[in-house]
Amino acid sequence: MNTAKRKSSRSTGAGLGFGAGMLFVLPAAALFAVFILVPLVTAAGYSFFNWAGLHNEGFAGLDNYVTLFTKPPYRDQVWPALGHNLLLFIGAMLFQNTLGLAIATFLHRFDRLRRFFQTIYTMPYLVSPLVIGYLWSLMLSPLFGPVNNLLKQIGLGEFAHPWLGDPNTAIWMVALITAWQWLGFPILLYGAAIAGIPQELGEAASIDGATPAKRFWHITFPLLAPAIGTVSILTFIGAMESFPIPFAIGGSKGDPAYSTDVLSLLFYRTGFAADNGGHIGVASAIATLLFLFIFGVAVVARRMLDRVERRLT
Amino acid sequence: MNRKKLTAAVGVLAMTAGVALAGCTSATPGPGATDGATAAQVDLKIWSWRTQDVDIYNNTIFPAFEAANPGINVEFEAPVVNTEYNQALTTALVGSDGPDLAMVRAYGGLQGWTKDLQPLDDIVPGLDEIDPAVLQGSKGVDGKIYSVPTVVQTMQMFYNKDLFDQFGLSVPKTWDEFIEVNEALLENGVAPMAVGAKDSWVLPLVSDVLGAARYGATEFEAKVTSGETTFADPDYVAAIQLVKDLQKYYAEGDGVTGVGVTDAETLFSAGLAGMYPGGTFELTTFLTNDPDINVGTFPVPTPPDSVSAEAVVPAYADGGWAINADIDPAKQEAAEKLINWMYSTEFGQLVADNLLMFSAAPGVTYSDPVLQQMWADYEASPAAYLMLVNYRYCDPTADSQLGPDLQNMFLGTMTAEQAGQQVADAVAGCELPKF
Repeated sequence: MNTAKRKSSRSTGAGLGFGAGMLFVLPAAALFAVFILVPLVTAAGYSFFNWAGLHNEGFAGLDNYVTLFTKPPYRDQVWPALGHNLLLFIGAMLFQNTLGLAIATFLHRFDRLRRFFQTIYTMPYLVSPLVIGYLWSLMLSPLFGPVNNLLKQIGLGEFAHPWLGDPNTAIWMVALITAWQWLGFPILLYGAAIAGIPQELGEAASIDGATPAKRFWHITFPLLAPAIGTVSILTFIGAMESFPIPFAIGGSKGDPAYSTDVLSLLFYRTGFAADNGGHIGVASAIATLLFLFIFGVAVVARRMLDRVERRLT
Repeated sequence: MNRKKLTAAVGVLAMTAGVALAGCTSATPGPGATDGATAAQVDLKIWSWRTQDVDIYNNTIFPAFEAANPGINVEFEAPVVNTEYNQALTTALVGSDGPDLAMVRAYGGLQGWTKDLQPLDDIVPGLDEIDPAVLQGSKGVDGKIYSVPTVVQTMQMFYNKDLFDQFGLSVPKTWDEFIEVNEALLENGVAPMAVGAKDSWVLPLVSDVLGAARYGATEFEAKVTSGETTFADPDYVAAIQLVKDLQKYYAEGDGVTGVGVTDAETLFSAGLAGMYPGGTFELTTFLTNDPDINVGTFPVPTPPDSVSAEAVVPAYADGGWAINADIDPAKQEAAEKLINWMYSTEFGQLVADNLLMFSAAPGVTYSDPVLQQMWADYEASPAAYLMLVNYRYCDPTADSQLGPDLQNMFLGTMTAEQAGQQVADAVAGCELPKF
């Protein structure tokens, strides 16, 4: 009985035997172990040691973690940086996912144009985020940038602004630039999810007299719940790991005045920057905590979303 | 059936592995590959962060050494950009594939590397004759010399001579004249000064160009390093307040924190700003942007209530040449020969003439008129750039605190008193090395 159970649990959906299945899985698992798992565990290990440059100076216990939360400059920078990560998440949910859902819903009605616009919206996603960041920092330059020039030329000169020089707007610019680059991602995912909703449901509701808005809220939206959950969690992970665009916009210090600082920049600055770098222990502590935070929130959020999805569908 | 699939899978994997292995073996030369070459030939690899100087070093400067020292081949590389250099060199020095020689940072920036470098006290004679403030940049906290200073950066005001001529302006000798020049440029629709305040790293430099005389430069240095005063000193606070008071003369004025260093350099190079407070290193950037730009320099005159009686030119050593402690013993002699040559008048002169920088080597003369002016001003009234010479040993460094604080002052979210106090607090527990 037991043997039979084990056998059936070992067989794969693709009809491959256990041995063949493992042969396909092992190379990927080995690569994952070498490039993800080992660095992850190593970084966690590093965070418990003292470092002078790359020389290990002995076991430090939790000292690096204590330093991070009690000593300047880290204790003064870690919370605002986390706050900015969360703002980026809110910004991405507002500008990227909401707009992405709206566009995907709209495009679904136009069979021929859909592919074309999906491709257009996805194009920035194919460019390196660092390039996108530098490109937008040029576009938003108060001196030579076309954005302010355009505003002046169409008579909206009073709205011309040093967008990246004002701490009140700089982090939102980072959020908007990130949304601009990643907009194609929710459009593609939501587009695929909408295409998977049986047409009969919508047709039946129309016959019963449901308006397009009602059809969206009562049929499309609940059936999209799994996709929305997935996109939201991936967005959260992306926002918490955000590095290249903030780096291109504000450098390793999150200029101006740390207004675009995020946790990955703090990690980079602490470990590797030219002036205050070389604190591998504290940097590893930041990396470890960041991983645990993202992992923890993602797991809890997934469970909660599963519950919501079950209720909606 | 399954067996067939298994065989196919193994085949695919074996092919993949085979291709990968073939790639590895063909990319790795055999151990005897280089041994067969001329036995006397020594290849020295040097690393630097100066990506923009690679061609000049390889095509003009090191060929002079190679011609005089047959059998030694020097390859100068800038493997990564400036901001990534520290990490790349740290990793390379600890590992086994590091360069034979490397350009290393000065002052506090050098300290993380000293364990992996050779002390040069007995290798390069005469280094102790260098100006102590410059040589200090090459010393470890153990007092040993780990590098031959490369270049010295002086900090002063650049101005566009053509714009000054066009508006009938002359180099200001007093603070009032300096303000008049700013006003005149403003009236003529030209930004008086280009300051890249969006990039916090540049602001401590700007601050010292404008305010070093106000807080008392060398006099203040002695007091603050001995603990007699701190950066919360009223004179230091007044100096950074001065930087804030001049904000209306910076390009974009209130919005100056939106102007990046590259924007500011472009503004000045394009003749859209009259002046640029900066280090010697900016000169090549201006000349690259516009080879015909007519640039002059002057030390900013002493402001009212200035502690220093005369205008001062702060300066610092900007890195040095060092030998890897793990160098192949067969290359040691050649490396010593090269590093001694790097402290010769010949090398210094080649650097000065081709890279337009001040060499720390003895007996170098400057033919470029802009360099001549800067050097004359520096020699007339030299000072140490406090933030680097003294406070780069601290953690956090004083300039990493001051830069964002100055941005906050420009944004109106911090007063000069608060900024001075923050810098004082940041370096409060810092033990400065005694040399």
